[in-house]
Amino acid sequence: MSSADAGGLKPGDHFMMGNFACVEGAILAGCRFYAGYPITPSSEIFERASVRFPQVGGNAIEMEDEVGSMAALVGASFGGAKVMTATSGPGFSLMMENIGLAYITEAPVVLVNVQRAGPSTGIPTLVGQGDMMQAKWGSHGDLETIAYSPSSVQEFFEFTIQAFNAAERFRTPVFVMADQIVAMMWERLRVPPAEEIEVTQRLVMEPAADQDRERVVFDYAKDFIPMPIAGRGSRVNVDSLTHDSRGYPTTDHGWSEKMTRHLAGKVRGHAREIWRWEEKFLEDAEVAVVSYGSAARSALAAVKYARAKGVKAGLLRLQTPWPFPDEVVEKVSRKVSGLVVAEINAGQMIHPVRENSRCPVVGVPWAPGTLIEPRAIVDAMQAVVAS
Amino acid sequence: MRAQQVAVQKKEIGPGAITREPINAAKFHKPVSRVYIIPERCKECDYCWTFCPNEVLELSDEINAAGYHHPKVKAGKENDCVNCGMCQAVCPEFAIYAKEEPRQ
Amino acid sequence: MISPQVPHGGPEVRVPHHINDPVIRSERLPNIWCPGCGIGIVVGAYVRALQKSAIPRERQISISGIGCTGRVSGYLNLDSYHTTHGRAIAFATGMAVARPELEITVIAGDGDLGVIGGNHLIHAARRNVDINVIMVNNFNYGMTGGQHGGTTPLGARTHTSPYGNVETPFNIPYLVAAAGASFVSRWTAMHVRQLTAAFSRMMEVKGFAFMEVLSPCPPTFGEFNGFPEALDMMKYFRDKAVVDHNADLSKIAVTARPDDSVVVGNFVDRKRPSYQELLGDLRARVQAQGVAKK
Repeated sequence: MSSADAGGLKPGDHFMMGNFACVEGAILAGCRFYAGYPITPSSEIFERASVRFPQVGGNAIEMEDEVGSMAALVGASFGGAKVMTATSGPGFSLMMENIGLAYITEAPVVLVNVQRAGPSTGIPTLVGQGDMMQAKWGSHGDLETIAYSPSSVQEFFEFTIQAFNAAERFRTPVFVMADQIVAMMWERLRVPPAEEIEVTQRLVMEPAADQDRERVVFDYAKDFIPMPIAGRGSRVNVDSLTHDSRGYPTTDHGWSEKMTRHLAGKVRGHAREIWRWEEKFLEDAEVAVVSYGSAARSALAAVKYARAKGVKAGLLRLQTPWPFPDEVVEKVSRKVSGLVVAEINAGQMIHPVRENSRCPVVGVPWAPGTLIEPRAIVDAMQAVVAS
Repeated sequence: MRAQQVAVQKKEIGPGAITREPINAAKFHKPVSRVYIIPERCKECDYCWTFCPNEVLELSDEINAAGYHHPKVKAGKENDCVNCGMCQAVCPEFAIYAKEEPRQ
Repeated sequence: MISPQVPHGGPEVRVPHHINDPVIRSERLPNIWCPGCGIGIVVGAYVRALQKSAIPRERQISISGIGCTGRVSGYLNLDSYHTTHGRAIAFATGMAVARPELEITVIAGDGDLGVIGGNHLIHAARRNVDINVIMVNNFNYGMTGGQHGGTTPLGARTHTSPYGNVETPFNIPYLVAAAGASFVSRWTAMHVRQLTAAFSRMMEVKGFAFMEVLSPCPPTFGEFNGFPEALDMMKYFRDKAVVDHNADLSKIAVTARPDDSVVVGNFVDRKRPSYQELLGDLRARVQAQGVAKK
């Protein structure tokens, strides 16, 4: 751990757009490399990075597509840089290929997905939360995902820093699953003094003796393996194929099992340290709303409205949708008679919520490309209480 | 030393050939080299013996563990490798190289 | 009588190690390539260029994509990267920008760099990213068993063009030169010395340095296209290659027909500012102005 990087935004209060706050968070976390492709509604992140990164000695480069952007990030990450990109649904789809590369080669990468409405090109300028399952299951093969979901400009700033810390610690791609509302909204941003911002530095592999060909470079018995950085004489083969402890490709069943378990295990085994959530009015709640991102702002309004009308409502806001905070949801589900999942999609995070709940769970499908209306959430809560 | 070297060169050109000794011949020597092989790496692509400019190599009757005939030096050609490096360069397997014998 | 003063040769000597073994991961040999595959020859030529280079070995980086040639990186005793299909150049671009002092060489196949990764290839050439790119062209997708691709000659037979390929292939050196690369060349697996010499030059060149290496692929391409043995295509390269450094690049498409010639050479070697140089200038300019008011 060390404190935040010089060249960052001055401590104090700022009035700022979510997308800008994200870039400032990244700079304070030590990010100095951005590779991206413009896409609505994330483009302000790239634009601000293009202004700010050269000022702090970094690079913000534009690639030919999102496939190349994510590949460049993995390359720069092995070059030793803290790296990030920002995108939205169509770009997220294109990045899936090399998210898998970052995962299997254990490259720290931060990806900000400013979610927009609809499948395919959908409605680029309107809000959605339809990529939540893609974040977990989008890249092929087993992937264990870490994702943050900010509900405010302040959180967009803070979660970007935390995403870097998690990426560096776990050596894995980490997503900030924002959405169009949080990204385009202007709010107060309070930047703490640099020494109060904790920044994680990555564990780096020491150079190897030339002749030592049999050395274990990846010790899968450990959760956190030092990263071989290019140009330091590590002489490690970094492979997108399933590989053994020397980094060499293998079809051996034992190594396949070991490597795959290591990649998932280092996240699952430390899930409790990653989880972040917020509970509101849950002490006496008989019905609770589970929500995240900008939808949680509506959910909070709905909970307050329901309470005013005599319904004992509460809110569980998931700040880290992945790894899924199953124990947290289960605990809440034992206290209430029903859960309402409020999200701006046709029903995604409702599935792991239902899987881990001991009470009935209902969704509020919502896909007009607008912020979910509190009225719809209140109706769902009232139906739960009535049944 | 110089005389011996020139003598060797003349002998190799053979009887009846019209030869002229370059005036700087003494500055040069014809390297004499040994061929080194790693038989287990060979896949019998035939490149080394086909492209050896001095026709020093041929296929061995022996086979390696994978069933490939590896190269060997032809009988009577033991002194003809000049370490031109062709066999090493054209071998896709890092299975052959030549090294000049040390001059005493 | 041979004088004891004059060294003499002898029969071959069997040894466990090759003189190039320190530069390769010899413990992984024999390699996975088919007998007569030209990729191993390219690796050998690159290894000799590495040995000659004054650049410290730990700064030499090898990056590959997927496919037969994609396996090259795994055999080099360097910091090596086996990335995703077609993305080796994009991966290299990121690393090259983050660490401009590294000497990065991408070694990958024709399908990898010229087809699925074609967009990355032309854009890296356009930006003139200071990396070396060695494209081994065996005219087909070999790893998957021999399918046609963007470099398969017109009329050639593969498993997905059983009646003859109806697509016109890319003339890759022409394409990369037009896109703006600093250095563009083409050689064949038979031109072993020219390969090493050109690789050495590519390590010196500032900017995008590209080489197409034509290679025999006996089992999945040669067999169906007039080169039944690996040797046949090597002899074809020996007999039909025409060295012309000043060739009109628009006229050097490869037909790979036994009677047609193949133009090889170091076609382009020009000075253009590299991407890393321009980015460095940009950073210096911005930082000289001071950090903008926050």
